[in-house]
Amino acid sequence: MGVHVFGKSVKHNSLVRIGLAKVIFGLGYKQAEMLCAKVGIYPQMRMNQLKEPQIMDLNRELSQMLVEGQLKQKVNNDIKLKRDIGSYAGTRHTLGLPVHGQNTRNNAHTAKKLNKLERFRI
Amino acid sequence: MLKAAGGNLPKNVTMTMSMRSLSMSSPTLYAKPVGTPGGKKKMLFNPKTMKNALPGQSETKVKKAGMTHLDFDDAIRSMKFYKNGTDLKPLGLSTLNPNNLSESKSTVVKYTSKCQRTLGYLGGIKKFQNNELYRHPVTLVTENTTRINEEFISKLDNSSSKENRLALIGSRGVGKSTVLAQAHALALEKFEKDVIILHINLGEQIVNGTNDYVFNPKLNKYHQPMFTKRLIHKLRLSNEEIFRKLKLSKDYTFSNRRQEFNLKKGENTLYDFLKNNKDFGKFGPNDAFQTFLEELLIQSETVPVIFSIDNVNAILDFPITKYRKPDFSPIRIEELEIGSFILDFLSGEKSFNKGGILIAKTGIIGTAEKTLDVALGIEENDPYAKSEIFDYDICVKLRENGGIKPFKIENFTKDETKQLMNFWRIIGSLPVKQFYTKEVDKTSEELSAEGGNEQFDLEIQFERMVNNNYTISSGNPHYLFKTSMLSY
Repeated sequence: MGVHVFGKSVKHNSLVRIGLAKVIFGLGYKQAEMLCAKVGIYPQMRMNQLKEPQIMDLNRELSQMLVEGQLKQKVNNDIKLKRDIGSYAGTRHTLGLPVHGQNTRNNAHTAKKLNKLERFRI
Repeated sequence: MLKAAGGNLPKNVTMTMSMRSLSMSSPTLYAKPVGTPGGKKKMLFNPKTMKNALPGQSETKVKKAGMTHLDFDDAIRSMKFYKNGTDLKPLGLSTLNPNNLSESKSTVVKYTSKCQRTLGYLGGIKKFQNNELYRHPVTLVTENTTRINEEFISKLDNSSSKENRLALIGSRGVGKSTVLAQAHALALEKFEKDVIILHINLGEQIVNGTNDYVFNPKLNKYHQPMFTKRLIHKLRLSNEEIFRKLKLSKDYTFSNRRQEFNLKKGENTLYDFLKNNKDFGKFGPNDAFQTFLEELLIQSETVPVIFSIDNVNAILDFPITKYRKPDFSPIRIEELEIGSFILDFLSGEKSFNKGGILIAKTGIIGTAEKTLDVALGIEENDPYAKSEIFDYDICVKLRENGGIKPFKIENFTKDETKQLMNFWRIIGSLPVKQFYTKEVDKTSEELSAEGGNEQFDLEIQFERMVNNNYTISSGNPHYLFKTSMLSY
């Protein structure tokens, strides 16, 4: 069972501020609390207690924030810009190697996993 | 004829085919019998077959929920463990009454059935008081009961609530909530239910962010519709008799479910107003609670009003609530409608013509915070105290109009301890028996008693238990219960 907010299914019995932070990309615990305060959701409210107008309010507020697809697009664009201007960071992204001067003799697995021109597929 | 495989057998013994079949190590045993299909049989997961495979399980297993999801303390209440408790009818306990307090001193008494019902609605009988031992809650009349009767209950009908403000203080488990419940019961008995009791049993529920909140621009305060609705419902049930008697002092008009209500002055009662007005729980600005308070202030000229809060330090020691404004700044207790109502009456800014204010601390929450203690004059003000520990504004507010008088709850005396333990012994909750000791641990007295064939005396043993438990608990009811009943 899940409650759908901003196109995402959030666990029905989780606290609103926790559930949103867990599910929505780019929304942390603090931001989720701020969002709840703005919409007028009390701190201990659970997802299944949300009413339709409150969900609509959350959707409206979230649509004005830089989260989910927009945020992913921004990250992709930033990486692309670095590559286009021919910066060192851009090159390292293209090569799938660490950007911030880490050693590459061993490990560098996170960089190999993440550092691509298109980090997020949208 | 074959030679012995692996050389395990002596040289002169040869293994025939028949002997091979008896061998446990021979590879021929692993060969499949002739005519069986080859290959490994594929095991697929099938819940039905898996269930059948387990002995004693039927195919159609009915899924049952557990007994309860609650903790033990809550479960004993929700599952009504008290129904299995000891029936106290044969004991013929007397009831708690202000007129016979001196006779029933240091004895266990019960509440009258009406009083018990009212206390149940108000939340005066708490889960940690271990009332599940008995079919009906009981209480011990102590020195504290007599004092609260003299210092608070006797003043209810001849002084305003501003002049009759008490704060029950004391260490954890000393019986502050019990004395609060006793005060309610004494007031109900004294005025024969012609007394209004406004009781908030858990102060922390106002500030801990478990209720919805909405801003009322007219009052410049935040409503808590869910909390207010529950509070009013509780008060309506517990004060039904008196509310039905009180006629309204003004005309009131409100609508509820598309129905217009016109309540007439002197004709309709306060009960009608509370029963029909659904604005208390409405998620939006309204003045229903303010109207109720105004009405109470007027009615308090004829009927005494007791306003009591348990766990009050959860509110006063933590004035910054868990609620936030839209700009994410925290909401203070004064900005809540209920919080403002509490502070107004605690400070004496608003006062019931007849009545009193009774607040009780909890020993569990806020042991480090100083606001209430400084306001009551128990501790001295530290000018360098951090804002998390001491709130100046709340302290000043509480000290207004002469301040609140502290009422220290004392531990049980030895006689009270003995009476209570004797009661437990009579109902069979406290076993009094000979505790055998190891031969090596026996004292010289025990050895001499054995040598002289001295008979085991239950009364001496009980006296020893009373002394022992009184010393360990120093008369604190919580620790007395723990040492005598919960430990073995």
